Amino acid sequence: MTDQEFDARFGDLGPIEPPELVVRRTVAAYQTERRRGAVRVRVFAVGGMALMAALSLMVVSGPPDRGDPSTLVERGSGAVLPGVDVKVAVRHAAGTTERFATNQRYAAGDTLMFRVAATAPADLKLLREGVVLWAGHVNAGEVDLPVGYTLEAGEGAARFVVEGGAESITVYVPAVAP
Amino acid sequence: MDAVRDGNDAAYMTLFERHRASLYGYALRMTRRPEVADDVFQETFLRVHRARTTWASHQGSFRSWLFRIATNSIRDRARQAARRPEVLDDTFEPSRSTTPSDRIMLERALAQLPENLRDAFVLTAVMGMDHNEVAAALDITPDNARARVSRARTRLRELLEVS
Repeated sequence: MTDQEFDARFGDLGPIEPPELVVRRTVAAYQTERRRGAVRVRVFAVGGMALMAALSLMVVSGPPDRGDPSTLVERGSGAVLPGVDVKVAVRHAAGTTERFATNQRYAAGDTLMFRVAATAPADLKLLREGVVLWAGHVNAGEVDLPVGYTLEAGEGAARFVVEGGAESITVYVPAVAP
Repeated sequence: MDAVRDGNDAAYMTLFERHRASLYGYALRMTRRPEVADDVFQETFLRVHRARTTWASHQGSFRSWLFRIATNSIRDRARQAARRPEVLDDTFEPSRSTTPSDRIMLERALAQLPENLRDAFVLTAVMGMDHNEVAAALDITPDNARARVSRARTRLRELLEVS
């Protein structure tokens, strides 16, 4: 395989769309900075004397000491969010599939598959021990995530977490036999 | 970018839309932690806005400048994280054009590269930058960029056992 062919395999991995919440948060933070910049420019234009007068008035009869809501940046996942449910199935190397059970030890080569049900469209992430396996948007209803996780020999116990909407659901997967 | 430098809102949003997925992909692959990648993503685009008047076309493409800002942000966070021991694991994403298992295998191999090889290789092979752009993004020479990509490729071939 030539270097170009080898690199092309990685080229197929491509960009990754950021979660919608992160996009909204970033745009809101940018717009807040823009507004602050515009206010600064206007204030300088008023001139030193006017500024001093305005500051004096604020000292005498200023508003309560609290933040301006228009400058706040949205954080967190919001108040009204869809509920999410998760089902896990295990596909064995032999081709059979069964429901996942936390009290069962699975073998190398078994593949975990995830089906999520969302009450409304949602941005979801599937994580293993805090690192992302998949991130994307799902519509309301049941959908199989387009990723399977194949267990490797000697792999330690791990928590798989589906984050999204109002839910964060953890599935504990025991260690795999060496 | 000239319009962004002049404070044009629409031009900024155009650049944001054009580069957001590639920047997030880079941040996620370099940090391997989505919550850190989220912050790097936001901080990078805010830094672009704050530093827009310092950008000059003769210094290289906007894309390499953008990724240089992101790289600095990632390095800042890595330095902070070094003071707080954390357990990191490999990460991978599903594929649109390859099978999920193939993609997972490639992402897993990428995650095993040392940072100073991974950044150069991701920018080259995944993001499609040439050596000059990579050099500008990582603040290294083009020869150094070429050498890093070559070493990364050799290591990846070993990890994937590709001849």
